[in-house]
Amino acid sequence: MSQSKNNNNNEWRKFFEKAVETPPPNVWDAIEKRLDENLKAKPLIAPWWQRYWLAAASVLVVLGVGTIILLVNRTQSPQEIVANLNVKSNPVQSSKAASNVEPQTFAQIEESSTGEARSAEHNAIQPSLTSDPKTSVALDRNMRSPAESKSPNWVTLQTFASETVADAKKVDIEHKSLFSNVEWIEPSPVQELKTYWQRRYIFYNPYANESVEDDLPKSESSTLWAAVSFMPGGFNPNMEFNHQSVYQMDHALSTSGFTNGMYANNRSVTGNRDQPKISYQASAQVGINLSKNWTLESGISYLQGNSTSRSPGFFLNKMTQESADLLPNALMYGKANYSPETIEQLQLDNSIEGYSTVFVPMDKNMDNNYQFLQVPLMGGYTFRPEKKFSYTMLAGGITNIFLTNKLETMSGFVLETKPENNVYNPLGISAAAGVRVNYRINNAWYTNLSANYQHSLTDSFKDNPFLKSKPQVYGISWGVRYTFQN
Amino acid sequence: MVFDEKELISGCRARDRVAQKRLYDIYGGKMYAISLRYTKNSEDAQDVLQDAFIKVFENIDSFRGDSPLEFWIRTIVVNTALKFLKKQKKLIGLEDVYEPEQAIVEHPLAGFQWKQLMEFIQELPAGCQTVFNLFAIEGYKHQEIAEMLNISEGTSKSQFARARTLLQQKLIKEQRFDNESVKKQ
Repeated sequence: MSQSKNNNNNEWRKFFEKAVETPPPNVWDAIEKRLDENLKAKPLIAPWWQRYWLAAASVLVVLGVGTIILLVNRTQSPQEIVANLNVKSNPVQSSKAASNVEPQTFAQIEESSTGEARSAEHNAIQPSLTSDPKTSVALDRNMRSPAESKSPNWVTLQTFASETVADAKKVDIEHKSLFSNVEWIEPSPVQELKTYWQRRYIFYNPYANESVEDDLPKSESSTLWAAVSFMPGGFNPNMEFNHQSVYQMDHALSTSGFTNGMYANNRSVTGNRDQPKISYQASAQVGINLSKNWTLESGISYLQGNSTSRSPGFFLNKMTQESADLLPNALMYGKANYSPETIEQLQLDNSIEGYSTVFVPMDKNMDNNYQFLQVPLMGGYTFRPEKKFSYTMLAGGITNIFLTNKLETMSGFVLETKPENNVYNPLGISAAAGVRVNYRINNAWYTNLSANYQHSLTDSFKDNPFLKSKPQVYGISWGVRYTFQN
Repeated sequence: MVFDEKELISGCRARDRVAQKRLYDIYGGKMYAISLRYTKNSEDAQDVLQDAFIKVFENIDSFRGDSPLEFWIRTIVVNTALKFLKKQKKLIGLEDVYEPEQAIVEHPLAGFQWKQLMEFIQELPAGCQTVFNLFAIEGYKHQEIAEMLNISEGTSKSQFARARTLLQQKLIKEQRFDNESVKKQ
């Protein structure tokens, strides 16, 4: 960018760097309202250390309460109680063992052990204090956290419960005093429960949605497409007669040689004497986008090439007035393999001696139609590929597979030549080029119009001494293309 | 205005409403001016500003402090404005505009108020306005603009050239009008 443009941009930038405009008050009100809505929507989640701490505390509380329930529900003698406490594996089982114990039995045991009357508070065993595990849970819910329940008696009771007394008889009467110091744990009212506020930090990309939504232009590299097209156009076989060969052919046919000196000179008899007629080509193509601009295409086409070829003359048997056109005759030379009937149709009968043939130089037009299968391999470069209208330059080669040729003489005889007749090369190579205009209907579908030209690089004829042919094909095709989405 | 940016950020991270209001008061004016540059009217600019600050407050935790806070907020405002324009379909079908090659004499901006220049920018076609803002004022390159707006680099350049031409014409016309007014007096 030029210095002056840069300076101008800097000038604009400076003007707006300090630009400030007070927004109306309703903007902040709207922001505040949305922030409040967002805040309500977010649930409070405890941090991990508090959650796990609470879980650990809950487990301890359950164990502790379960132990208390065991102790409360016992009716046996201290020895039996001790024996029950040894059953540590399943507090439910332990409590079930004491399930038949009336709550007041505990008080009786205390009385019997201490000999002292207990206060009404200690006797006031809650009806819910049964050995039912559910009750243990109900109690647990109302329990303060162990940190708050720091009664030494509670701890002592737990210690007592956890001790394993192997021999029930060895229970020390002194332990009885522990029971006298047990304090009932009153459930806390709900209002006293502490609530905890947690703060959660969430780290994420604020522009993640935008990066997803912002569709960057999709690269079309390695995108496959398929297309069909139809091309009306022209086909020119571009046949040439070799003059010397014509002389030799004439000499072979006639006994008197040339009669009119037509071929006394060395000029080639014919140049390009073919006229193209309306031909058509139907194609199915596949292609791949190698990059944004480059493509590689192939496919298969059927070519119906119609033309008019001019035979330069004919041979005439002066006696029988039989004539043989030069062009069809020329086809029969080389390694041609026609049926005897066909040969008889086209050649003069020279069995009658003494009568010669003459060559009559007279142009005779004949329909000369070909059928080929073509396999192209083309490279293309597309200009403006991202636009609705884009242009592609094409170049490459085509393999032509000969199918049939029909040469119709003026007399109405049709000489049909197939690959097995060994007249034409079964395969030929053409160079091809074209320009294509593409119109993008949507991301998948295109329609296009292209101008194409092909010129054969190899001679169509197989070892024919008289004829050469390097056909040309040209036309404008219309096609549709479908791009497979990756 | 002296304020502790770190304290402000930590307050916003704590979702402290006072800190959030303070942040809005400090940067709201500048960001509103930016929103006006990208939109055609004050209502649209207010929508853009509102959406942008919501994003700022919700994503303040992701601000790492690599760049100044103002720059971070500004980037959010510009992206929000572009998203708004795309939603309004103002940026669809941006194509190359033919601008004949001619030596444009850059008219000096001295003598103009920024609000006048703002109005000139708002009067530009949407595509030219956006590209001009991004290139001439925000300082993005044409390649970056092409990626942001999903257009070609050539289209970005041609849209900017068109914007420049239109702005210069407005500046000249406005200057001429001012001169004539002065003469009449």
